Amino acid sequence: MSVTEKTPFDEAEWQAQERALRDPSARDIDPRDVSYRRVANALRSSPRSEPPADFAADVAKRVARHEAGIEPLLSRILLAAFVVISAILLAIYGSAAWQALGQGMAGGGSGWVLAGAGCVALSWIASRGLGWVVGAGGRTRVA
Amino acid sequence: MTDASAPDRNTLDADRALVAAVLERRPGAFERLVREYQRLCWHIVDRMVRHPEDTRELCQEVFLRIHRTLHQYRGESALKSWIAQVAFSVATRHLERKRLPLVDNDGDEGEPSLAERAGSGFDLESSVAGEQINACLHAAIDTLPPLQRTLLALYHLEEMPISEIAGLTGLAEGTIKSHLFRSRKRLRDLLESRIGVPT
Repeated sequence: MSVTEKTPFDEAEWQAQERALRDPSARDIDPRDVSYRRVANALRSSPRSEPPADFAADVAKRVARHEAGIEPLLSRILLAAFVVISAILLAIYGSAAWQALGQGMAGGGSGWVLAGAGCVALSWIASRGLGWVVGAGGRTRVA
Repeated sequence: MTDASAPDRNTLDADRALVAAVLERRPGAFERLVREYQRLCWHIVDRMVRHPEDTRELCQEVFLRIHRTLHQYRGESALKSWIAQVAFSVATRHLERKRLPLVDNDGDEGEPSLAERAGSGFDLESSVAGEQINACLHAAIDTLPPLQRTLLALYHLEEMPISEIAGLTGLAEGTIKSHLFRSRKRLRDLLESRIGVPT
């Protein structure tokens, strides 16, 4: 969003604009003040549309519908299914998997496991650090 | 209007309490939050998009986002600023998606002047009474680009200091001053071109 160079900023004129905004009843000493006073008055009385009376209730209902909707339920079902399937697989293949893992580690696979763990740790540290920086002002650019 | 945009302690305490109530899912808390800040959100989005149905939809989107990300609010700055920031961002994205320009360069050759754009259907020469001057200037304000229109509204109607506007728009304070200066100068030029230099 660049600023055009075609209308150079004039400090004296800016002050006239600000005087008109802040002190509309002051005695005019500059013809520019009269014009800017009219502009400031128009800006002050600029019509504003208002949200409909039911807007807040509508949004709150939408949020409530969303919270009570299928997504949270689906998440819980998926989590439960994951836990159950993991337990079944562990019961069936648990001992064999441990043996294979032990062999893999002994055969030089430990480097990959360490690298994987390192990546997870780095991601976690980065996300914590970023969260701290972004949230430090109490605001976060969420959009 | 001062540039001291830091919120006072009472405001922050009230904001924190409201956010805590929403996060604890207390009945009616989120609706209270929306009710408290819906006008600010509406004014920003409406100034940007100038379309009633889009404004309603986008404002709903703003508050849904706020609800989703409210746990990130740390209570170190006013909730108002955060909501205004999200509203501005949502409206800006909407305009970008529609490929509508946020700003224009005044004085560009080939572009209709503010007087030409605002003048259609309104004869200011024959209507110099205060209310009619205002009506013409309001029409002219509506023809300003979305960003300039919104900056004027935030500064003049919401009475936000420039530093706070800078925080929510992500623009430099100097850029905001420049936009305000140019917009007001254009409105003054329009006024004087139609009714002459005041005495």
